[in-house]
Amino acid sequence: MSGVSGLVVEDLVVKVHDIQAVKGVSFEIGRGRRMGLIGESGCGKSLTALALMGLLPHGVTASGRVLLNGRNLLDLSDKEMCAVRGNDIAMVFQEPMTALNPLMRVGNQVAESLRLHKGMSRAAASARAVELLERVQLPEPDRTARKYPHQLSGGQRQRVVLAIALACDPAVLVADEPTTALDVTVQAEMLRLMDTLVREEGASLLLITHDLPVVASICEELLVMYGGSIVEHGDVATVFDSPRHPYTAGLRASTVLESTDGSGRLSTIPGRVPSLGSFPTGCVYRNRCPRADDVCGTVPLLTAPPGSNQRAACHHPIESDQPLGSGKASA
Amino acid sequence: MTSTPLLEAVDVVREYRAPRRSLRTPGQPIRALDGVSVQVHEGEAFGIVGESGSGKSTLSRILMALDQPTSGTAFYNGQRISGVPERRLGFLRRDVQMVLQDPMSSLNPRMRVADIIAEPMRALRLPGDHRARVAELMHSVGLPEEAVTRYPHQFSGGQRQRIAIARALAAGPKVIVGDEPVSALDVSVRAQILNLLTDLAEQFKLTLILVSHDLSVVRYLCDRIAVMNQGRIVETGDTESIYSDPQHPYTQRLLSAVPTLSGDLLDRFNRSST
Repeated sequence: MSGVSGLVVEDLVVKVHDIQAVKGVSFEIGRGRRMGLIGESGCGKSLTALALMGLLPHGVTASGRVLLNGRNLLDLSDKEMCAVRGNDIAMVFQEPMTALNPLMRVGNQVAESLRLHKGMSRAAASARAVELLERVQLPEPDRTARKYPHQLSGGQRQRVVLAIALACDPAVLVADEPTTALDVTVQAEMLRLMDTLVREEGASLLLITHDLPVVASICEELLVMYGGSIVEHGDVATVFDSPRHPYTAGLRASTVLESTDGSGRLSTIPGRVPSLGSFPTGCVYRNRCPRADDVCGTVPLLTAPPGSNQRAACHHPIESDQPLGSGKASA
Repeated sequence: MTSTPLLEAVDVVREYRAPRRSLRTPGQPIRALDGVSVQVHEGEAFGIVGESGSGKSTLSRILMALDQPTSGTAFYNGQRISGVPERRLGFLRRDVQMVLQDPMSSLNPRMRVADIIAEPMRALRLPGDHRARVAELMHSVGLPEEAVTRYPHQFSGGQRQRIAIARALAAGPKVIVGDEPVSALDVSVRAQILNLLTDLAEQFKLTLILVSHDLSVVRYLCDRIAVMNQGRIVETGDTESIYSDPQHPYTQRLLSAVPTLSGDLLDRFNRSST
């Protein structure tokens, strides 16, 4: 695993029956960096993840470039991709009950990818599986390895999924809502574990979630996605402190439930996410945006102001000296 | 508090039996609720928080007489509701209504919205013009009136939850119990539904009981909360005082595990768990 570039995504387009669900997304996750990808349901987050993994469902196609170790994953044949998936790039899914095989002992499920990718013997893989279960801090790893998924709690199952994902020391770990189904204390433990392991392994993390505080807890960089496009990108702390794109500002305001506008009401984003294919032309957010005007009929570019790396795709970005939600934003 | 509480549980125990492990011995009893007493007063918003398996949903079900306690009693308006046959609980069914987590499973996919919202009025044989009432309710929850002929799948998640809220309001209840009513929604929609619940509670002078694992939602909506852990209430009191100064170690741990935008979760959580 050479190179400092980690994962490079260039102009990724995902089409669902000729409708662009992901519209030319580009980003780069450096080696050992932790990137968050946020947005509401229907914004193309999960399709982006599935495209990276080569797991798009039938009838959904990806184009563009996904570069890992100098190879474009989108060019690989199914067979070649099978050798990469789980080995160089691995994924943690939201629902561990569906990600795990209910008829197979969890130790064998961890060992499976070691046997497949690393060519380990049955005995060596089993022994390594127990070590991995210990790494994800499961109690009594040798006994747990012999259990079936239904005998474990939700948090324990998610740890098994993480152990499988980390089994082959992947360069990139993609986690799609890994803690959404968990209780808060279990979620905090899981986030701590992911944080530690990703640091220790030096893997690049792409964390996909709709939960902004989760991203703030373990990521360094942030991508905000809306309508299949990246609308804002920057350091997590900077973006949450002073979002430039009105959509990010709206998400932030509706997340922080304390922030009310005097009347005791929560600020919300007007309207709702359009269905696939019915986003407006030009700026995808303009039908919900309090700042939209005629200029927004053209597609804004993802640009940063001079001296900053906080890029936003907006014709009328919020400048940091302006109060949040100025204008009609709080209406 | 001098007035009679609107809803009350006194020393409620609820035991379930675990599945048997051998053919000879019966399963072990599991205490879902272990001596819980709680009072909810008229007009307040009361939150029950806890993690999965803490007994929060069981408690809410016993307060609505949807489940019977193994021992102990629940009261509504001073009247005993535990162990009372269903045919004598008509008053409770009208006064206490519920909003569930996932509207996709709580709304019948084969019924039109008009019928879904009118169903409680039909079931309780309430007099009046049901159709006019449905139109009024659609307006209250911010849905277009002409949408009454549509089916649940034709709405977005937030709109479906609005339908569920309209149905809960149909019988003119005094109490609305929400079991994770916004947990399945996106953040921006969640804020819209929370605003709606606040407005409706004020407009119809409702008492709200909110069951949730989401501490930020409970904090926003509730005046008083009870924190549950392993079938017991470990702490109860004013929301703000519990959030600013939690007394019980479990409450402290629970609050320290809530991620925030400032990103200091892991620091805080490491400190509290060591």
